[in-house]
Amino acid sequence: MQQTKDKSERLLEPLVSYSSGYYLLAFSLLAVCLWGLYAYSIQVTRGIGVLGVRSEVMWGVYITNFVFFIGISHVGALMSAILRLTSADWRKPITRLAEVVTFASLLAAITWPIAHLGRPDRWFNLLIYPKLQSPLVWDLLCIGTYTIGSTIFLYLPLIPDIAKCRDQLTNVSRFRRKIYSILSLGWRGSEYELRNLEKAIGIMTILIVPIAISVHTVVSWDFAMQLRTGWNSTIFGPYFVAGALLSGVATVVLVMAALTKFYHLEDFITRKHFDYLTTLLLALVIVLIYFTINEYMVPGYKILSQNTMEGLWLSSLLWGTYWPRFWFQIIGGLILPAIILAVPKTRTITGYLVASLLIDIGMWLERFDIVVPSLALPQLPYAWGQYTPTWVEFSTTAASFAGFFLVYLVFTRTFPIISIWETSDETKRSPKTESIGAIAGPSKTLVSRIDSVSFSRRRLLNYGALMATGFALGSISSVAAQVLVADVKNGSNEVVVPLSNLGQSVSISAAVEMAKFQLEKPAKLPMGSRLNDVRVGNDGKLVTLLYSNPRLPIISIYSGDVSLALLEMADPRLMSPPTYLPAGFQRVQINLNSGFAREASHEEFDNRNEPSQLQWWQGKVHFVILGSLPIEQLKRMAESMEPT
Amino acid sequence: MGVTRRNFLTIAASAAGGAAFLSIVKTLRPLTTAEAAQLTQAQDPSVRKWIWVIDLGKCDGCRKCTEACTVEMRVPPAWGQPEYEGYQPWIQVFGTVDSDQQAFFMPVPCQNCHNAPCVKVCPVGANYYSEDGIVLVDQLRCVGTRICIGACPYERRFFNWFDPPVSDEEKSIPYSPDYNIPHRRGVVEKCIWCRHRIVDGKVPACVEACARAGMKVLWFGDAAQDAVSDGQEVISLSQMIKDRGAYRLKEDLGTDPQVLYLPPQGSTS
Repeated sequence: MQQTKDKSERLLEPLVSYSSGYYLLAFSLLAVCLWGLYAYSIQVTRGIGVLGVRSEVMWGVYITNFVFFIGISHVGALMSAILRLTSADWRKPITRLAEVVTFASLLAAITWPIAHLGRPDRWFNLLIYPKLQSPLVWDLLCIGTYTIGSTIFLYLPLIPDIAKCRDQLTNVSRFRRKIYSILSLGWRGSEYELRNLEKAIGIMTILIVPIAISVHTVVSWDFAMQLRTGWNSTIFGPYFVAGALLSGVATVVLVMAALTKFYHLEDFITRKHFDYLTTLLLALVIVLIYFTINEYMVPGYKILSQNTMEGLWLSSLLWGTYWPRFWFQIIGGLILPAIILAVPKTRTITGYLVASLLIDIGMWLERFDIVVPSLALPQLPYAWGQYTPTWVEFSTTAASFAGFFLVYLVFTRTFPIISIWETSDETKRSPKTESIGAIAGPSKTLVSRIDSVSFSRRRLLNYGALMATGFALGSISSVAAQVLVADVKNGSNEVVVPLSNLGQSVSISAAVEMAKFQLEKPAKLPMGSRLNDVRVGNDGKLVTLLYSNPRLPIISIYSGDVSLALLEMADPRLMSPPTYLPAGFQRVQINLNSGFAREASHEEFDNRNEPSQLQWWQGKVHFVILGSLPIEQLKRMAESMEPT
Repeated sequence: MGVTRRNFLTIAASAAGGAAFLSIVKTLRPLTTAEAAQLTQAQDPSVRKWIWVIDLGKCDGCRKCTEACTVEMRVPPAWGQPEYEGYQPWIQVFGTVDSDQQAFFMPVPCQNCHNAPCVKVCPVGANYYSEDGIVLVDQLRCVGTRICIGACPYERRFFNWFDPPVSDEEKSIPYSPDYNIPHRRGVVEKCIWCRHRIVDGKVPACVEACARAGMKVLWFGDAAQDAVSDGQEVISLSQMIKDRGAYRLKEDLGTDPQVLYLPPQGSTS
């Protein structure tokens, strides 16, 4: 009994003794939150266009954060409901800390749908005119229910502990005493009260499971209910739920380690808890790997070999624009953690933390890769959408994470983070110290003290090497995937100017005859320019006019003394500049037609002078001017085009 | 048994639940004659079935339709999207190639689906069908979740990312979803088939501009009356489809779009 009393006093300690480090941490988190609020105020006053989202990619980091935080929130239901139902008693000291993760992440999550609205001033329309057909309204209902439900679930087992705070913490501020006294609902700890509390918790345990599962299923339906390639998936519901549990458990492992270290909870949270939780984590990683294989393998096998939307989408992920993120997410976020968690040698606290961190980062990227590439995919024959988050998105995201930690920090300093009455109950009531829970832990059962939560340099190096191997594997997989499905063309936007195969030299009048389009030439040529050569190639679809000018340097890519070249092509592949311009290029406007240009440069690589170039489109004709002149001068020539 | 607090609460909760249940049951009952009459009226044959026919063989990609649209609807700018050349392309002309590598142009207005994904997903019911079947956006109700932009398989929805420039003249126009001017920030915009013009018996502005340019690519009409017009002449819709054969974009999605495309028939010149 004496020992129990000591224990409970140790658990109440963080509630009364505040170090300066706590204030420093709390205020810096608050500062980040305020900065995020400032960024958001810019978004509200200037318009949502300050974000990187645009017509094609109209959802970005905000929705990714929303899905990520909702995912993390699932761990509360898992810990308190599923583990309670399977009577895994080892969960008792860590139930509450998981439920607070749920509470804090739900607070973070529900701000995102409001923040991403184009008209946040009209959010109440969602309540006045809800249309039950819309997945977003299902979201509202499910998340609302889950937030209320999980808050009750957090609160119910907290009542006896709040009563303990009320009775024992006599020298805290009057305000806090008032809060404890109100929230404890006059708890006296009688048999009758205890019985009713157990009953209420029992009811909530059953209720919270379907609610939690519905929440993430409905979040996945926000995507799956839309006619989008990449979102058209029937496994999105379970896929999202599994990912949610995975990221939630990983977060709890991280939080657990931090709490154990900073609040000295080694007597309560032991190696056993880490071992059991990470065993669960391993199982969930394997489930997610299984889902990922299903999600990408099935469309890949059937569709990849044809040039379809799915083929475009998959190739952009597997070896196109998004491959580094995609393969990091697969290798770094799933396979590597699975290896770390499965190999006995890396099943150390450091290993657990590295694996959990990798899983959390991987899961965030996974959500990003679900949201963005499907939206960037061109629905009609056109350019890919682009998305680059702006400082506003980064600031509000940082604020959201800071807010999550701040809520957590304040909670742990206001209420006992480990359930006092449940843990002391366990020691009092049951002689069996070891759980017979559904999840069997590793065989060394005895409660050992947590080994130090610190990184040695050698271990870090080892993990670095492991990660480098992961990246290497990722690159190899990307290439291998490309080789395996070699007949898929990569939908690239690169403009290839066919400089070779210029065709035969003809007279200018013959060229006008042979050209498959209206041949034009600039009226404003630099002084001293002379039309030197006219070549027609590619069945009359390409005409090149080569000028010489003794005052200008020679363009080295042509033989002879060519100083200016004008290429005209009837090229149906592109009708305007590509969305992605290579580095060094800029967009220009030629008499209402759009084009792009690059200034002359010197290639260090093979000691070659690149001439300036200007490309633009006029109707169906693609023009290219090459010359050693500033862009402005090329532009004037381009603007003075007239029929030959 | 006395009325304890517990009993009182139980009774009150059951009463509230019962009332809620009854109100749901009320909506499930069969229709009254008056209500049924109201519903059948909506399928009155005199109601128009607007349809659009686009002759891909004639389009030369001059984009006069897009320009006319920008002027007529005072289309807001496309912020930060240089590929849109300044304004939101409510009717956009794509340059593309067919399976034989023949280039052709394809003007794409709102497809005005009769099973529109954008109408389904809107959480506040701001997207709706007018009584003659045109998908409209109530920009006073729209909250800007942008889920309809994601749902549209034709990329025909645009968003006002900042405050659109509004002239004093536009400010004096009373707002109606039929003529969504003045434009406002943070809401979704789309082609509404110039509903303010077609109810007056005129063709949409782009159709008129196309005919004025002598292209005769865009034809607008009423499938119920089997007639389409480019604003200058009226021809039979069924004859046109019979002669040329028509297809609709992404038919497999089951969105029931109301824009018919006549194939380019090889050469465009």
